[in-house]
Amino acid sequence: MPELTSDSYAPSTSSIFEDRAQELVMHDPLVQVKLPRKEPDRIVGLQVTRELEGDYLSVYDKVRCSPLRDCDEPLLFPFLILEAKSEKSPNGFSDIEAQTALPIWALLKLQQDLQEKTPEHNSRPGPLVWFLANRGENWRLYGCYVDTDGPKRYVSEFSRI
Amino acid sequence: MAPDSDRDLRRLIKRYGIRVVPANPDDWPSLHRNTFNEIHKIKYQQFDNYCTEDDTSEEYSLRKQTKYRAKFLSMRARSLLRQQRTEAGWRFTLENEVLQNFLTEPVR
Repeated sequence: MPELTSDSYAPSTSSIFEDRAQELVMHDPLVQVKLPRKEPDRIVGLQVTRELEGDYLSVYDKVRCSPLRDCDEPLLFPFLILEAKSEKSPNGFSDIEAQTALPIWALLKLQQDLQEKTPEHNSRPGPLVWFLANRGENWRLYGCYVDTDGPKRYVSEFSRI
Repeated sequence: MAPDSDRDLRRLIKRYGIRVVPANPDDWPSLHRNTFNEIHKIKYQQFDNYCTEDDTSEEYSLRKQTKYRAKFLSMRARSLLRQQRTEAGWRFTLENEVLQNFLTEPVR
């Protein structure tokens, strides 16, 4: 049981959102294959506040809640990922998509596991991660989700919005 | 990125069933179609038409703040460029300012 004291929370007037810049996204330990190390420019998720305490305590021992290394104030279930490249970079959007694909997959998997392990909560419409990519002043927004319309296999799709 | 490792990365991505689909609203998944449609509409929102004096919606005050903020960010971006900062410099500053409002908005 995590030790949550009055000092553990952000003040009740603060946001439930938090972000991290260039931190290593770690995959589920059950994923056997060693995946490339990726540190997205920025990811945004939730932080434990008084308002979220009850929900956090009800799931923290059932599922992984954070894709980052353990710490006292974890970033929970990130849902927004940003990746930027210089206008002069040789990498086009296809490269930015490839570079960020596996971290996004990791974030979707966290949400997917939460959904599967807490079926008592209605968690439609399902895992969703927003991906904002920009190259200089050109930018693209992707909605990233798990495809359940197609054949039964785990597929993550990034759809440009 | 070295060609070999880039090829390996793309192979791995394919192996894990990850793919990028074009922006075609007809192909959006049923589960997320409504959400994507709402976001997609924003693409066509013109600044001048957003929150005019004729706006009688209950969210007028919030929309007015949003419009002011958009103008502020636009002016800030222009100012940063005039300072001839490096791309890393202006992007880091601006990104923090774009996200700051979002990250510090109190829980309602």
